[in-house]
Parts: sequence; C-alpha cells; structure tokens
Amino acid sequence: MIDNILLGLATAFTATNLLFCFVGVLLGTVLGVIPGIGTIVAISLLFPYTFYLPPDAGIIMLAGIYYGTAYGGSISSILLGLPGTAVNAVICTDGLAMTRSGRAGVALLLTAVGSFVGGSFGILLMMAIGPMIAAAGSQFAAPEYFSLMLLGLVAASAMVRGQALKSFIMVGLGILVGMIGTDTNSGIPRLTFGHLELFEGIGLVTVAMALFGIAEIISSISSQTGNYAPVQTKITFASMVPTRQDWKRSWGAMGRGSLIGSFFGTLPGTGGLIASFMSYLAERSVTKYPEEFGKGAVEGVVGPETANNAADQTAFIPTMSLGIPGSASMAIILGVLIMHGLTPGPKLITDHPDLFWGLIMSFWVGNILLLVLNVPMVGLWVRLVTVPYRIIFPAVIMFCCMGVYAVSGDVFHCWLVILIALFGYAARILELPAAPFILGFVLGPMMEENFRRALLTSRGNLAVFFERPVSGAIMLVTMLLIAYAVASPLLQTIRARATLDKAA
Amino acid sequence: MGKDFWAGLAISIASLATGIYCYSNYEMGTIRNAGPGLFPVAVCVVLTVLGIVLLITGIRQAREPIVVEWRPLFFITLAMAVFPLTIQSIGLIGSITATTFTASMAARDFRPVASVIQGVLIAGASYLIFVIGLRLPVPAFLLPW
Repeated sequence: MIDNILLGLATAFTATNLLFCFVGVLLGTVLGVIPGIGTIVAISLLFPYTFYLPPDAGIIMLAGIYYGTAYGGSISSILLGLPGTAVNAVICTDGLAMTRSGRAGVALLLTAVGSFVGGSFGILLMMAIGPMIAAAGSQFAAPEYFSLMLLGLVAASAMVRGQALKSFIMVGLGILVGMIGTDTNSGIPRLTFGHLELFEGIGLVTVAMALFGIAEIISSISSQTGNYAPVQTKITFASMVPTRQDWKRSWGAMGRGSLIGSFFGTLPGTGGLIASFMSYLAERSVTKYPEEFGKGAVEGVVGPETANNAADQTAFIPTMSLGIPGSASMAIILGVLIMHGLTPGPKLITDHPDLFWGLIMSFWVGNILLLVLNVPMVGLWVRLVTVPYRIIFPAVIMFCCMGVYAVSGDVFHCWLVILIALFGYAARILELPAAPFILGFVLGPMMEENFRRALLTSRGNLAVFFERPVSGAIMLVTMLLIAYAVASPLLQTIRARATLDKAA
Repeated sequence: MGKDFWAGLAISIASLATGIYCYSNYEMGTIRNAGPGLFPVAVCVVLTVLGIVLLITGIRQAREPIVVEWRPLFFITLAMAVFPLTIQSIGLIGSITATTFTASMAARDFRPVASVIQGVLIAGASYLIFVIGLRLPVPAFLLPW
C-alpha cells in the first residue's frame, strides 16, 4: 500500500501532471459556474483535447474537469439560486437564503470545506476497496463481464424514476449506433451503407459533441439568457468565518454526506444527483432546526455538496477497477482510456499501477487546488455568471466543430454531428434522456464481444450466464431491478386509482 | 396521444427496419458461433418490443403540445453546415468566423456588429489553440478560387 501511494505521488507530482491537474480543475470550475453548462457538457467539449496529452496527464485533467464542475456549480447555486450544474440544484433555496441574509461567505467556505471532506472520504474509499474489487474481478470471465455490463445498463435506467423504459430504450439505441462500423470478429462492415468513413465506427467525440454540445445549445438558447445579477459580488474574508454554531452543525452534515455520497457514487446508475438529494432529505430529518430548512439552513447546503463530491470520486471505483462505468461522464472517461490504448478492467490496476495510483493522488492535489481556487477567488467566479449566454454559445459551437474536425481529420464526421444532433434534439423534445445513450454506445461493443466469447466457450449454451455462480447472482440482481422498474409505476397507478375511488 | 406515442412509434419503426436490414444482410451464424448479424438483430427485436410498449403507454397520455424552438434549431444546424462547407476552401479564420456568426443569429437578442467582432475573436482564439497550440494542419487563410 505504501509503495503504491508513493508511486501515485511520484506520478501525480510530475510537473506535467500537476499542470494539467490545475488546468482541469480550473476549466471545471469555470464551466461549472456558468449556468447551462453542466458536468457532462464540460466533459464532452473538452475530452478530445486530452488526446494530445500522455494518457496519465489526459485522464488526470479530464477527472479534474469532472469534479471541478460540481465545485464551480455550487458557487452559482449559492450566490444566484441558479444551479451551475444539475447536482447543485438541491442547495439553491437554502444557499440563496443564506446569501440574502448576508451569509454567502460562510456558505461558500463551508461548501468548499465539505466538498474537500467528501472528496477525501471518497478517495480513501477508492484506495481501500478499488484494488479489492479489481482482485475479485480478475477471476471474472466473459459471462461475468456480460452480466455486469447488463447490470450496469439496467441499473442506470431503472434508477431514473418514471423514466426507466425510456432510459432503457435510449441505452438500446446507443448500443445499436455503437455497432456501426467493422465487426471485430468477422471483419464485415455493419450498417455503414457503403461509407468508407464509417468503417472505424462513429467516434465518441462525434456522438458526445452532438448530443451534449449542439443539441444542448439548441434547447438552451431560449431558456438561458445569462447576464444574471448576483445578489452579492464582493465577499470579504471576514464574512467567510463561520460561527462556532455553524461548524457544530456542519461536521455532522459532512460526515453523513460523505457516507451517503460514497454509497450512491459506487453504485452503478446512481451518482452525485441522487446523492445530493438524499443527503438533503437526511439532513432535514435529523436536524434540530427543521424550521430553518428552505430559509438558509447551513447543513442543507453543506451536506449535499459533501455528498456529491464523495459520489464524484467513488464513481471512479467501478469504472477503474472493473471497467464498468455507472454514468455518462464515466462512460466518456472510459472511452478516453480505451482511445489511449488502455484496456479498462481489473488488470488496469496491476498493469498500469502508476496510472491508477497517480490518478488517485491527483484527486487530492485537485481537491486542494479547488479549495485554494474557490475560497479566495470566488469574486472572480461570480463575475462569470454575468456573461450573457449569447457570448458563450458561439464559442461552444467553435469547440464542437474544431474538436470533431481535429480528431477525425475530415468533414464527413462534421456532417454526422448534424445528423446526431438532430436526433438528440428530437429525443429532448420527446423527453427521452440522452445520458443513457452514451452509456449504451460505449458499453455496447464490449458487451457484444463478451456475449460472443461466453457463448463460444460454453458451446452455445445460453444458460451459461445463469449457471456460473457470480454471473448468476448478478443476473438475479438485474432481474430484480427490472421487476422493480416494471412494478413501481404499475403500483403507483393502482394506488392512484384507489385514492381516486375513495374520493369518489 | 402524448409524446410517448410518437417516440414509441418512431423507435419501433426504426428498430424494425434496422432489424430486417441486418437480418437480410448479415450472417446470423449459430448461437455457439455468433455471426455479425446476431447481436444487432437481438438488440433490434428488444428495441422494437420496448418501442411498442412505449407507444401503448402513450396512447392513454393526455395530448401535450410539442414545442420546437425553430429559430435556434434552424440557425445552429445551418452554422454546423457552414463549417464543413467552408473549412477546406476558405481556411480556418474565415470558416470559424462564418460559422460562429451564423450561430449567433440563433439568439433572439442577435446583434450583427457585435457578432462579427465576436466571430473574428473566436476565430483568432481557434487559430491560437489549434494551429499554434495543437499544430493541426489547417491553413489559416485560403483563397476559394
């Protein structure tokens, strides 16, 4: 363990990696502060540029962007009552109330401290159980992998309330689009319709830019005007000092937030959003001051921010130790690992210990940098939200065009972006979620590969997925989740009808 | 009929068509040694069924108006077409300026002069990032004739 930590520190503290960790958290904070640009948009816009870096620096920078957005997002939530990213939405009411009563500085400081505590807890957990999960995972063969990926995809869909069916459909469409290109087993081009440019498949860059860049802009232009006027722009150091009472109320919230966040971060399909919401509910039920909730309760701000940061860090556990991403952002990070020629899975930790431990240690560097960036420089970030959206989105368009063109080197993929963006916008209008699509797109080819391999070794026996104990157990959980997803809306309808009958 | 009806309809038709295309064009192989067609067809079958389920749930939904933001949809799509049409003929600076200017028209508070200036600034930034920074082999200026 000590060796690994030292190896990680040696990797994280090279000049290049320190620099790109800083660049990552800085970009993450900036994009997180701007309402209308969330975590997934920030990652989609910037991941193509990490290809120009060595793998470790690229992943460290991308991870910095990823957890930096939640830090930045909390600033706009507190000062404007507008969520910078979706995970910060739950703290808006209490955060803004604290700002209105002149306690913005305290809220910002305690949020930064809470995020650091939550992040650190998540990092410790990743150090402790990541290698353990990888060791268990190294016993897995193709059937287990297939079952695990299926579980990941089903869980990611079933957890979205009332959206399970639509999410799963989007996963399926993602898998289908992921199949475009040359079939690795037979060498036959599939669904390319004669286009040579499609033989290598549609790139992750093309899909991510279209769905989370272009389609997002089209639907945000009318609603996001930007140009917000913050309630308070000057925050003095003196106003940041929390009272003893504040500290007393925050420690508990940070502890609970760390636990809640780590739990939901590690689970596939759930993440920062559910974690911060659950933490808010937990704080409201254990507090001695329930009357303050919604009117500026400090634990209602600190708890959720701690939880979402813990969840951001622990989301790396299944991604790095098993190669199974639990969210769209993690799917893109996994895709970047693959594009750098690294095979995600249990062997990653043993084959590339410098990358794994370097990444973990860089999380700490990044979290400390965020603490330093956020607290004294908050005045600068506040000014960012006053930039109108009409200034921001043309720049985003440029990054989308150039990103796709730089990676693919031809205009064909630029045309594809339009096609996929139109699909993405249509999906948005019809209320179909885009995030599961990217999960299916990334996991699809790996699923097919493991599916075929499992059947080849079992001589065509489909029962292999259920007969092997580990795979069988995973399949059982998957089926329970499907049953839950099918039953819960049905039960709701029945209950709703029963109440209606009573009323009548 | 709600949004789910139309979504389900589109998805089931598209998946059915793709499934039939895959079934008739790619070898299915055997279960033991799956061909290139087996997995796509299986996914299409599942998607068609799920699409029909969505369609059925949508029949009973209340009808909601489908709001399309035509202005951003039109100008952003147009901007995304301007880029591939111009990048190889007039070079990076001209292409990015034209693209971002077209995109700016998507906003209701569009300001022509400010947008031209902004377009040139963004084009300059893209030159610094991509040509100077990342050494992308794209000419900055080209004459189209």
